[in-house]
Amino acid sequence: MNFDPMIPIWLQVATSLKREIVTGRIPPGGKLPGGRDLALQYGINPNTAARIYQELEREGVCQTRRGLGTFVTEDAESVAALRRDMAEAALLRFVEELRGLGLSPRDGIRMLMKEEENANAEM
Amino acid sequence: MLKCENLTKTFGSKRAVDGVTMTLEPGHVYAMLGPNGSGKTTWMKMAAGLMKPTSGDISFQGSPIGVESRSRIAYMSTEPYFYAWMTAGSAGRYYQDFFADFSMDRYRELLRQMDLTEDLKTKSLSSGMAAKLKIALTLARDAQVYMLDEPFNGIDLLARDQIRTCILAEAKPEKLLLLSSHLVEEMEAIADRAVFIRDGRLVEVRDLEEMRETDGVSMANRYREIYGHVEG
Amino acid sequence: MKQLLKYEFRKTWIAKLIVLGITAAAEIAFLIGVALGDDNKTGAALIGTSVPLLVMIALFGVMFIGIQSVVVLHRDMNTKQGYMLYMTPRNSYQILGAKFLENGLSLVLSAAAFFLLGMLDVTLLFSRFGQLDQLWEMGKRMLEALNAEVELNTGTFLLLALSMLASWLGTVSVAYLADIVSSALLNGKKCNGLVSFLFFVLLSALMGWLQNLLRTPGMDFTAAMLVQAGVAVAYSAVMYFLSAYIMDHYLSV
Repeated sequence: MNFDPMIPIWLQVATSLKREIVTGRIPPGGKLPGGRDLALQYGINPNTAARIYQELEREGVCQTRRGLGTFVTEDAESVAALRRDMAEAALLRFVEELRGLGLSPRDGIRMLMKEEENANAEM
Repeated sequence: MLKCENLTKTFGSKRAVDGVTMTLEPGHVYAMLGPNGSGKTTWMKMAAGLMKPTSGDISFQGSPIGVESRSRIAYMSTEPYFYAWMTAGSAGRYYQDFFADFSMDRYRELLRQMDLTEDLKTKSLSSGMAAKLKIALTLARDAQVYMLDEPFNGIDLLARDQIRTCILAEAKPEKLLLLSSHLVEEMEAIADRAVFIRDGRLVEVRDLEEMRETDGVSMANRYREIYGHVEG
Repeated sequence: MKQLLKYEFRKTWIAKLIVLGITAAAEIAFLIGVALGDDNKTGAALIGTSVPLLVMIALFGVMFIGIQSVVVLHRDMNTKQGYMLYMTPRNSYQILGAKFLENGLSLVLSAAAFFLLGMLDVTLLFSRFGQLDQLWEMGKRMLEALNAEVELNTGTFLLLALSMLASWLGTVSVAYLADIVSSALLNGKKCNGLVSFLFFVLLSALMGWLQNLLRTPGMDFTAAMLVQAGVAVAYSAVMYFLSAYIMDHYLSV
């Protein structure tokens, strides 16, 4: 994984893990790698890796069970909420980008619909 | 764990290290940064016991640097330092003869990971291979402190990932890692603290994630801020 | 200590191999000469050249081994290979101790080897040709030059060799100290080379002066030689402690 060194690394890895979770690549209740393994897997400092689980736990995305490891929450509703939050954040970024180009959200909707039509036509 | 107070080393009239006071703690990977000649290597050599301070103190776990600290601190210098007659294998046996914390099995494993063989003559190694061999020897020790001076020097892009992984494998709560490199980007993700040194003086010791969060700057950004006007 | 010694031997063995090689070549020439006999032209020539050559090799070989050990010490303090030595968890007394021990042992062993070889060759010459007038004369003249009024025999020769060997050990120890002073204290200073050389000359002269001082005129040859050797060995010990102290406190590699 390539990091943007200006953004906290824990945030970047946490976001990447959340993506895995909301897409189901890591299922609800699934076991996450241990802190050291996570550090090696992503090539990051172990303290940063520990911080990631602290944050994910605080957000209710995962739980650490003493002696067993860290697990993704089994609560489907939490995962759904997480997906909504992330989608909302993506949408906000999208709108922000459009505004930067002098386009309105309505322009965006039009473009999105066009995009969908094209995709359907190809299928 | 490693502590220095007012540490100074002069060479003639040049103050290579100038009144440095700092404490490095276990459980962290420190990136030691500064342009060439800023005093990083001299500081490390004093911590390794190879150089004696001109004034000030440097200690490891409360005792002055000496025989005891040398058995617990694994130091890797930038320059190759092997005897001319050595092979990768005999260099390993040398370490095994002198360092109780050296593991031959771990060394062989590291050699394998780095595509080196024991019969290679140290004299005829390319600079990249020599660099890898030094890292393998140093990391095959189960030391409490690892000080690696320019571990990415001469190592090609692909092998750097490998080296980073090997280094990270040693980053444990009870250990202290200190890496110096002018390849700042290589250390952004593996280090969690940075020691900035300029003209032999300590500028600051920073927590990298905190710096990214509060100031929105990377280690490389901060590096440019501190040294930019010096190096041009 | 065992490990340090092992690597000190490893660092100097090429020099020893060279001495051994030259000795072997001269010895072979000598043996061929003896086999051919001195009434044979080639044989006489071979004996005539190989005997003085062997004597020279014995003298200079022992000297060379001592000088080589100073060179190795110098390299260990002034090149990157010194990191290899000084990063080990061994103190200066052990590091230098290994060097003193290695050098002392090498000197004694090589001197003993040359002595044995010499004895063998002399015996061989004697049994082959019956007389060794020339060789005997040479030895006598050496003793006369030293002002010793003694009869030349194996015992006195051994004593003489012992005292010379000890004095050489003392000189090498002084060279160690001078080199350590040069590398640890005067490094980077002006006139480093000259000052440390003068220091070497002065300390060597001091050893000679002490040897003369303690060798009273009334002493017989045996006592005189033993005093010479004793002073040199004691002097070496003092050099060792001084050197290790300076190394421990001031040396940066």
